[in-house]
Amino acid sequence: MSINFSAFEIGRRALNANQFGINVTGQNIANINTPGYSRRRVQLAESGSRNINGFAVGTGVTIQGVQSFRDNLIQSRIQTETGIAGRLTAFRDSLAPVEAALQGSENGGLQNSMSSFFGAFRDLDANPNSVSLRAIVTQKGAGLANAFQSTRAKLDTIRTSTDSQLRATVAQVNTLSGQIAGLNDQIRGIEAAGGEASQLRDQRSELVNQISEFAGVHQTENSDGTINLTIGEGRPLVNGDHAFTLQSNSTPPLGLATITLDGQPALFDEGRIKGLQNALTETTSQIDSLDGLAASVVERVNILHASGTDLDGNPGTNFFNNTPPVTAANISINSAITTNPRLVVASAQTQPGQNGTIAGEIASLLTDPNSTAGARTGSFSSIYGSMLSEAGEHIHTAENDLQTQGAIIAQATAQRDAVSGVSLDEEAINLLQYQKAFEAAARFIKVADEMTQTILSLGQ
Amino acid sequence: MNFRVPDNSTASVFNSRINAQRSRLSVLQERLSTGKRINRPSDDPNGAEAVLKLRTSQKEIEQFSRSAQTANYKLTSADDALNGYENLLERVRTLVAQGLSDTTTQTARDALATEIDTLRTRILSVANTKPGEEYIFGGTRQTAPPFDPTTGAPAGTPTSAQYIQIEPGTNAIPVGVTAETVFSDATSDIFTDLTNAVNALRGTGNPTADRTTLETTMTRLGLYTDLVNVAHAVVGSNMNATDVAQENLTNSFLSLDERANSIEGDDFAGTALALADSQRAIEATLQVAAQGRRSLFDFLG
Repeated sequence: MSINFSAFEIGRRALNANQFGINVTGQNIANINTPGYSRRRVQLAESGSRNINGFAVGTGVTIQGVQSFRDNLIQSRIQTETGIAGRLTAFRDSLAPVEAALQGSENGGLQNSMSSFFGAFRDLDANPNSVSLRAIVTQKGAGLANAFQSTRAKLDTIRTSTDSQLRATVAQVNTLSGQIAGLNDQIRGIEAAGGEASQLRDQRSELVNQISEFAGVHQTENSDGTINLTIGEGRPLVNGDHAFTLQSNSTPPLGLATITLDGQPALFDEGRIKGLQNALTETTSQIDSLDGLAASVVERVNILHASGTDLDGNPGTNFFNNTPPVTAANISINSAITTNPRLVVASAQTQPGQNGTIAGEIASLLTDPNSTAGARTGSFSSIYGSMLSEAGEHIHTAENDLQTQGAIIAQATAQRDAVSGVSLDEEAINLLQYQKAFEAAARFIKVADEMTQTILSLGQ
Repeated sequence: MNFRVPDNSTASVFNSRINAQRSRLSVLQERLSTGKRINRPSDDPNGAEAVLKLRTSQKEIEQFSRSAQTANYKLTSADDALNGYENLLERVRTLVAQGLSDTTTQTARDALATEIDTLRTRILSVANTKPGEEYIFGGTRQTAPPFDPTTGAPAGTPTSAQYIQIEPGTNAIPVGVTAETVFSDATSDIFTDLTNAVNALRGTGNPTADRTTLETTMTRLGLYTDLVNVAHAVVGSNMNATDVAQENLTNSFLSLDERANSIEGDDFAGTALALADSQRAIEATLQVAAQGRRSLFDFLG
């Protein structure tokens, strides 16, 4: 009789195993579109054999566990590449408005305002006695000051908004690192107790992907199933179940955020944070150049303007206010000149009377190659041009790199999916396999039952 | 390369491909609608900087072109005024010659004196011509008329010709002549000379001296005609220079325009073709995506 009852046991195990297989297949199908999900497979094994009459007889099937298909190498490569893409994307997106602000509109940009202002002096050079052209010079001068101020204001706004994005990203990284540390703790607990933490591991690697995009982390796995995350210079961000806190500190003189990790200055290699930091540096450098350009315009125009005589033969004054430091934010015309355009200087003191020499010299400043603004030298026009092309170059390079990066990530993701992704064809086959096996096991139990009935009926 | 191609990777590949194609399409559409290959510096940083420089030079040339027009206008006004002056001088010479004739009676001489006096006033108004905001013959001194409108006395402060730069990188050219070089010389000015002639014609009581005065006036009138001729030559050659400059400026403007357009302009036909290609590619991708991927499940009952 023992044979019959062990047959029931074999059947029961087979039913269990195949039902479990169907469950796992269902789980795979259900998560086909879940980001970060790795496909699973039931690991079946033959259960131990018994010795009957000197023969080893099997006792059916046992479920050994559920295997997740995961390639940690590819996964960590995706994380690295995602960090680079995060940096490039943030840099490009934060600089695009800088480029637009510098470029200005077709007729309202800084370049046009400069051309109009110096052009008005050229007109005055040809008509050095004109009061109306002097009025136009003051209007164009005010227009130039406005263009400087509004461009500077736009750049300031962009810098502020990049700074707040940086702070927001830092806050997100803190949330994510906290979650990862929590998952580390749970995974360690479950796996130490011999449990299966596939689901938590998938969740964790998805979070690591996100945190890589933000902070460009490096990942190392510990033997207890937890992971450590580090940022630049190998500073730990997550250490097992402990997450270190990033903090944004407003730093004088501009109040921009500098980031500390656990109280020490934090360095980032990649990720959105690095991209935003780079964008902040670049925006600040553009603002400095713009300030330098404004100061240089003010200085050179003033020197010439004050060296001549006005329409009434009086010595010239400053055209622009020059209370230091002159920046693009505070550039403005001497109000005495605005109220009385006759004070605009057109002729030189050495040449009394109205010859437009000085007006002509001021007009030529636009293309005079001896101006300096910060580290840039050249004409006002070419300094501005080099600022514009620098911004353009940065975006252009970031855009190109990003395209390459996109291809690398797509390739790595395809590789990852080739290992971890769910294929419906496979799942359909698995489903059929388990279903057929389940049916067969049921049939086997029925046969065993019939045999038992037959034997029982013998006793009646 | 990858042996397993799971279902979700197919979807993400379609997604990224369609995104890439759409962004390429929008770039092409922007190019076609603006006619420019460079719409922002990042499209081609070096090209954009070159175009910016060319456009700045164009603006500068436009400004110089306006200066050249102003110079031309001033020179034309001076030329017209000089013509008027020349005619008046001619008439005065005829009248003084008549005054020198022995057959001319005192009554006729008085009439000549009156006419010369009128002509003197007309010459004075020519010398003080002010078509706009400036005295044509005032040069750099514009605070007072070259000669006092009532007495004809020359303005006290010295003056020099106005210069205007009409081409980038060249020296400024004089845009007129000063009254000092046309209506007077180191010895005297035309108004004093004419007043003397008028007085001599009317008779100062010393016929010999009067005759000498008239003869001197004749010589002086010859000198003034020479001065006008010189002034004419100066004005004429400078008008010529402005014409040449205008032509040069127009040529450089056009060549700068051509260069800027060749850098930032778009190859219309090429872009239109690329646009059509790109649209077809999107349609094809969408069609393939719409067909979807069939799996074994589609064949199981």
